[in-house]
Amino acid sequence: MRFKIKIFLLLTLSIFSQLFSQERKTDSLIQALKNVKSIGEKLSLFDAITKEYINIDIELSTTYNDSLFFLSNQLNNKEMEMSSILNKAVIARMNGNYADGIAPIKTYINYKESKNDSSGLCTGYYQLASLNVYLSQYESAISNYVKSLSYLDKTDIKQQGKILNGMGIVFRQTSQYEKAKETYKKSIKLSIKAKDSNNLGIAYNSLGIALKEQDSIDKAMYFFKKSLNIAELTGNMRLMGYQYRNIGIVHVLNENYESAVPYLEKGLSIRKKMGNEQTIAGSLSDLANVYIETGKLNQAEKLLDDATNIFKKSGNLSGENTMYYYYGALEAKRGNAKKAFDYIDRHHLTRDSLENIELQERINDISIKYDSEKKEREIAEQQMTIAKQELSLAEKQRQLALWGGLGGVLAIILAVSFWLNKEGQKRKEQEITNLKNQHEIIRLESLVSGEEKERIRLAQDLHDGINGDLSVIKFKVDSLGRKKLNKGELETVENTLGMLDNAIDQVRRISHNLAPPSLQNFNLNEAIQQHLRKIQLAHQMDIDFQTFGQVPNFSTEQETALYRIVQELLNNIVKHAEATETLVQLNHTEEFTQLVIEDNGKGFDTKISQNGIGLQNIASRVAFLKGDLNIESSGEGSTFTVTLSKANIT
Amino acid sequence: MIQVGILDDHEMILEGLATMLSEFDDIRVTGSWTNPVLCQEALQKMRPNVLLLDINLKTANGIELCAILTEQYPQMYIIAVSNYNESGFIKNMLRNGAKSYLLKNTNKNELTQAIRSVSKGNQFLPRSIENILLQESLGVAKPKTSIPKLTRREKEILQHISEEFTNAEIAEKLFVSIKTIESHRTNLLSKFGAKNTAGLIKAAMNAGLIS
Repeated sequence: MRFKIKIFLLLTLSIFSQLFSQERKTDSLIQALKNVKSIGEKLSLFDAITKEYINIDIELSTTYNDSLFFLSNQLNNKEMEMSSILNKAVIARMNGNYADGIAPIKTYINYKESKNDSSGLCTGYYQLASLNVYLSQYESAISNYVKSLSYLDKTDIKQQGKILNGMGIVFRQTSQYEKAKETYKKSIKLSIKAKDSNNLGIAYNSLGIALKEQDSIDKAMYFFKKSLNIAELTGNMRLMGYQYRNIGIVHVLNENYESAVPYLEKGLSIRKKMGNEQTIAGSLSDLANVYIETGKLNQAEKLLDDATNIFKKSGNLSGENTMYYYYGALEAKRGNAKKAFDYIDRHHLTRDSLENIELQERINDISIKYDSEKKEREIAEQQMTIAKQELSLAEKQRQLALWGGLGGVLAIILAVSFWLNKEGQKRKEQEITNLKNQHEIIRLESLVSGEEKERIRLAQDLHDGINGDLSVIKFKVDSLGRKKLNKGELETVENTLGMLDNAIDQVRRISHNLAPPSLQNFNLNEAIQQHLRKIQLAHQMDIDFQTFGQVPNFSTEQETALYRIVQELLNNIVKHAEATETLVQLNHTEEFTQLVIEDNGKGFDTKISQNGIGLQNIASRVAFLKGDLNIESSGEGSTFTVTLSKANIT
Repeated sequence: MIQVGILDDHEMILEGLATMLSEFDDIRVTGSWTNPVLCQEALQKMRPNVLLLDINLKTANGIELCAILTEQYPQMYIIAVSNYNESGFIKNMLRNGAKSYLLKNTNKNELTQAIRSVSKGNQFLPRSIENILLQESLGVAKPKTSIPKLTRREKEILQHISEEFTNAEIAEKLFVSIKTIESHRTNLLSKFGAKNTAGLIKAAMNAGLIS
């Protein structure tokens, strides 16, 4: 116990020292305020101090922002007035009065729209989306984040990191953890690049929470501690409050209730200082949970009542719903089974509606739509550059003709300039080919991944949708009471059942060809093996599959592309080669991955067949993998070798 | 009376299976769920003898769920009911404790037969599923004495090795890097099950691949 008190004291001390250093930073701003020369400078300083204090002392921040608003309004400085309105919305969010933030943000966005200020719009939509998240309006949140991204200046990686973190939160809140984690990781990368310690701390926090919710508790703890570290270094009280709470919760999950309490209490006291009712309620319910587990039931109930009141007052549905779960646990401990069951039931019903799958899909659609629009825009931009280059080239050539017309006297000069021009022209042409190549690669990537996405979607519709329905129809027909039927009717029933089986088999086969389930559920080797087995059974051909070395970390797209290459090549062999034996070998070394497919068939003329659709499909997938395809063929058979250098894999 | 639970996120499947089972007096469907979390919660209170479990659940992985449930409730026997007919799924489900594996277009007889025999703790695989597993084991088993299959490039390299060329020399001859030759050589050793080059040459000579 004494040890724990020591730790506690140490923690408190370290916070005070951090706070102190932070105060010095804001002190310098306040010092600058005293030596201010122009009124414009004064307004900017007010704005800076407001933003600096938001995470440290919200009351002070509010005071400075009020002054900013008053002064800018008096001086009719519209820009600064809007800045203070934006601050007002952020302060409302930090105070937990989420709904109050919406109106000021909309004023801000309207103003920035009238000024056509894209960086302002980027910030505005980002803040609006962040409010949407807290108000559980996930669909609006994601579409506002996407809007914000569309106004983003690409060099502003700091803002991009913040937006990605927000989008990650939406994915997490709708239980799409893998997507959320991926998005957080991108955000972390950007924050490190932008040296934005504030968002870095928040993104670590987000990633930790996603991991915690997926029961990777140790990993979660690692990120919480990283985040706490940053919070202490920067004096970010808000983030500190989060982390004390999170670390406490990890202890709760590990059932170390005694260790949990000091952290949770510390979190609560920081939050009380910050004054955000929502987070206070969160901390109250955390403590209540510990009290429930340790049998202090009356204390727990009091805390739960306080927390529930806060959530109800602010219309925070998901927060309120969590409380029902705790009430359920509390009543269960008291032995009131009926009450406990009612609470838990209510909790599940509400949670299911919040996790609504349709909503997940709509959110995905919006973000996917954005991705593909972005690709298209990139392609369009490339095409424009190419067109411009070609235009300028044509211009050059016309000038050349003009000079030629002058002829005669300047023959020698003309010859020299002609030669120079020719060189320049060559260079230009080279540039254009390069651009065209790049453009081709982007086109190919979006084509291949688009095609695969579409295949997976179709396969799922067939597999889960149509085949599910067909099975149900079969069950219904099978449930008919057979005893009442005459012989003819009985025959019809049996025939129908047989036909349904046939249809189900066919749909299954088509769906599995479109997107092999082994590839999605297991791995590349298993999927290839399954496919080869099917071919072997259907075509009386001896197929040998060998693989060597450690499979590198392929992405799903890369695995799929490799699988498609095998599928397409085998297809060709079965159709045209008249082979009796085929060898498929997949060899992974430290430098490269090599796929060799050999048959003992009649071979083909590699020059003529190069352009067949089958080989084109293979070539485009090899290009997508940035690999190299080599084909050798003779009367004794063909060898296809696909080599991917390791450097191009990751 | 055999009590049966069903977990499948297709509402109509739940209904269809229940209708089909309703005419049998010795079988009763006591619970059906579309959501794995709700299912797991319900199992804490009521325990069917047999659970029909779908693999392709939107919010969970049926293969993993099977292992968890078998460990938690060893007395509840699981029948996988799935649209997948690939051996990987079948083997993984059986490995994770499922007592039976049926395709979704199963029929009344097969389903009741499976439920009855599984409820006694026996394993039950319909002929169609047995065939899938059997074909696979036939496809894999190869006579031990057979000559390992080599690619043309490997045969070429084997020939050079037998002519006592070093890796560097072979690499130069074939215009590839030494590393590539080294990896081919490692693969050859493992294909012939040889420890070193001497063993490789001996095995290749026995197989008649070089003279």
